[in-house]
Amino acid sequence: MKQGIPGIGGAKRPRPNVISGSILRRSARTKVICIGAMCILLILIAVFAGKLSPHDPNQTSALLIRKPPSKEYPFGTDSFGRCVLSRVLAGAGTTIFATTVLVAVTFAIGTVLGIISGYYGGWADAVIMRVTELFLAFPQMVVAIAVAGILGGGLSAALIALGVTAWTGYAKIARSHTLSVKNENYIAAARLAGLKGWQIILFHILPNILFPLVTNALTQIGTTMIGISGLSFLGLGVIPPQAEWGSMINESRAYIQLAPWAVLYPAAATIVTIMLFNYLGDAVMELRKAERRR
Amino acid sequence: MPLPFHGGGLSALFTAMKRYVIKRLISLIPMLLVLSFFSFLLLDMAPGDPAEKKLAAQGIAVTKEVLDAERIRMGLDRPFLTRYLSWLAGAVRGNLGVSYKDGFPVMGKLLEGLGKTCYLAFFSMLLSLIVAVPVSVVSAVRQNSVFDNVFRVFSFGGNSIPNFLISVLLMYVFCIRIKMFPVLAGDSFSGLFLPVISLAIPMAGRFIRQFRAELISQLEQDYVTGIRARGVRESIVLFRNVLYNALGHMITIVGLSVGTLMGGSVVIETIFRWSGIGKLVMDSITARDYPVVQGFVLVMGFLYLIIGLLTDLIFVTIDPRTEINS
Repeated sequence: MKQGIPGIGGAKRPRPNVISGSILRRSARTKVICIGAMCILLILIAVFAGKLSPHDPNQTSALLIRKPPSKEYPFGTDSFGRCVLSRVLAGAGTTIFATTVLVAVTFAIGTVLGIISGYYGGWADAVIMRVTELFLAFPQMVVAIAVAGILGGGLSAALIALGVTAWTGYAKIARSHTLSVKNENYIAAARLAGLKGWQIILFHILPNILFPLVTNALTQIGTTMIGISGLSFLGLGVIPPQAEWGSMINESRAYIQLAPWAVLYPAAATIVTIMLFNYLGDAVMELRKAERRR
Repeated sequence: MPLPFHGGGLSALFTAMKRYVIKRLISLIPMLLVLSFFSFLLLDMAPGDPAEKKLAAQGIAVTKEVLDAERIRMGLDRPFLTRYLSWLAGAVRGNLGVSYKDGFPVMGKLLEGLGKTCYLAFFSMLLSLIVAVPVSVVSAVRQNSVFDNVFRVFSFGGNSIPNFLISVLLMYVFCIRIKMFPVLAGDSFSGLFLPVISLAIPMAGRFIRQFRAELISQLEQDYVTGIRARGVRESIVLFRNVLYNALGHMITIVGLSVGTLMGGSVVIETIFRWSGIGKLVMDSITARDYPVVQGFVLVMGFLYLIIGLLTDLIFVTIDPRTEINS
């Protein structure tokens, strides 16, 4: 390997970033807006799935079993003669709704616990953090599969099963951010002004740490979707005939030779959606880094 | 705070290590208690009466007399805590009760499946490390090169595609489209390829991403500049210093991924009909054979805790500055 004399490390060294912060920030912001717009479009599709879908997603037909894609049925039909396109559209609603609920609830629980633990310290901190660490020590999917399996399936059981361990990450991050702002002057000022603990938390700590916390929650959307669709695939998520991509793929995979479209279209929808939300998470993280350089 | 082994040489380091190991082993005890309590609770969370479910699983007609006799035999007439403690006493000795379905000991069933799962997990871990370590090193050294970008796309894809999808798609392409592998190869060696690849792709994707970030953060540190300034060859800097310093974090990343691997193997084994612990637990869920599910959580949780402990110990051995003091 070459030794670099000019500068240190020469050609091997990553080039120092000569792009100014403002350009970096602007490009990161553009990226977030573009990806965010695509995600919102996806959410809109999910919301208006009923209006967009050409057929009733649960309408079965003995005459239309496993028909290849046609003008009438653009994504073909599955082994019950149901329209795959309509089911993919209906599945978008299921997946996005379930993910939003799970991320929002675990985020709220985790954040509240984390802030309380960070702000009050002492025994509250000790108890909350011990419990958090205990739940962090369990492998998430193993717990989720067992809990969902024992609760006996259904979407709410699957969400509970994933939620048992999902809040821990949010709690840890909320706590560390609370600790980093806790000793700032404005907190001391608020305390001197006679504000109560919950008021300080709500009006002074939360607004100041919300951005990084929400960023982190956004990066978890993709992972959460993978978890939900995985449970549904195993038959531990939605109860048929409700449309969900993971369970659609599971129902149709036995006939993949005869009707590959019934697997490949929901598969494509899953991949595109998760990639989009993961990309959104990455873009928001990048923006946060660029903002921090200021 | 001064290091406890400062100036004391190796023997002091060993004393500090020993103290650390003992401390960690003691901290494992409450974790195990909570894990066991949680596993025991699982059985009570199941809707319905356990005695009735056991009888139903065995196909015995449920009458009141049979049910009452079974309840007493199963100890369900005793209070919750008493039942937990007697179950715990058995679990410590490796007795996790018997299966509702066929009456065989749960532990034996689990161990049999665990062997096969470990076989699968070992090869997928090996494959993903063989891919991820060299790729992440090259990507970190040549940031933003074509190579880096190609593998960034790969690792992003691996992170975004659920493993059940990877395996269904691989099956479609390799078994149905080009007929390279039989669809159901069973537990034979040729049946190992697709499950191993399906487990390895997401794992390799995550490893590449995390290893690369860790290596880059090492490369940006002052000691690297210092060594380079002294004219040390780049290959030595990379392999002797940077890689060694990143090793602790890399092993921690690998250790944490074992949990994902455990969950992933349930999915993969179900798809490929690999008779490991994952398929066992899915079959048991379908058959409502809850003691097996309970045992699964306990055994997997236990293994995960032990692996966590081992990775921490390896970390401290490699880099004694970090945790011994705290």
